[in-house]
Amino acid sequence: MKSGLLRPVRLVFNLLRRRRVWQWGSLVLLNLPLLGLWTQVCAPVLNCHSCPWAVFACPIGVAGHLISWHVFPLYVLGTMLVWGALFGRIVCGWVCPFGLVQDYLHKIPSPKWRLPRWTRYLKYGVLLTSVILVPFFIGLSNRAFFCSLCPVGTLESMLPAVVASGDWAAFLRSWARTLALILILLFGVVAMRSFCKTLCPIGAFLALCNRFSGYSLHYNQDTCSSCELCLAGCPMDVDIAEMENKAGGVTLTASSECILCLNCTRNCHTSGLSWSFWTLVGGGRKR
Amino acid sequence: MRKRILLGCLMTLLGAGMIAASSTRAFPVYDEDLPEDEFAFYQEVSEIRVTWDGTFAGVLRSSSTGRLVTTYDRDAPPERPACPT
Repeated sequence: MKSGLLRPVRLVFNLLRRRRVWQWGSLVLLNLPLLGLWTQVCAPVLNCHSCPWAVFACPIGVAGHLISWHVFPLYVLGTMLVWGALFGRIVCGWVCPFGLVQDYLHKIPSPKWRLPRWTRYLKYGVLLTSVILVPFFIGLSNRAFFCSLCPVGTLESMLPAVVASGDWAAFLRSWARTLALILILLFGVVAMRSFCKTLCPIGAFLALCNRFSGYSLHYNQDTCSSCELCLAGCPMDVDIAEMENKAGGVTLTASSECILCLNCTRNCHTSGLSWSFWTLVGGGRKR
Repeated sequence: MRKRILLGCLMTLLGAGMIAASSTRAFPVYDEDLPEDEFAFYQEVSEIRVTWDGTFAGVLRSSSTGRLVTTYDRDAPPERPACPT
């Protein structure tokens, strides 16, 4: 009787442990007009607020506009800092709708590439130039502003508008946006999460927060069997052995690239990897 | 680990402090873009409302005076704005 009552609870608990459930749930909740219009509140993911269904604001779009008005985006920065300090890049792995799109794109059979290591630093340049410097010094009416070429905006905002109006020539008129989207989607097929790794400005900000975020991943050198199964499952190509050297075998999320998808903890057959939220809760495979 | 937790707590508090401070900020948003020596009406607009304006270019910055100028009727009930880009 007791186990019968616990069964649905266990089922829900097991569902909530699945990353895809969170990703699909977030996609729906971030774009569910039934929830109303809350675009004065920033969601810490790249989800275009110009989408006809978007519920929350995109921090990059808002910050770009405020900076172009020479208004310091205190509220946006505060929101992002709270999210980043508590959860780090977990939103990239579990919440971001464009991350979900890229996860599926990479399942398309094709030759697969591993991006060179230096490309991961590009996203900091994108954050600095196209979200801060260009809006401040030049303004928003040029293609160097991030939103002008944002693939999420094209996918979530422009595409539904074009489909609704039937004005397919809009893709030609906005050829730069269209081309940017096509290239990013193609790169998403051949290189796992290539946009997150190289261009996403939110990813860049949260990557900096990964250094002190509440959620963190821990590597235990003593129990690691060096099987490298964790490397095989990592969508962000985090080199755990390299992190071991850098962080002295203590904390993996000293890597700014880790999106805490926990693929590595699932692949790990020893207790070499575990996660924790500060020291309050934690998990991982137990021996 | 202790350093990390301390830094994480400090950053969370800093972020929360920034959100709290933003709730007290307000910006003068003018009805029209007039020269600086001419009288122009303005409203004090909260940062939350300016954030909302940031989702659809509801404000423009005057190139001559540097003032924030509204692009829509602020007395009308808010509705879903069109894409600015």
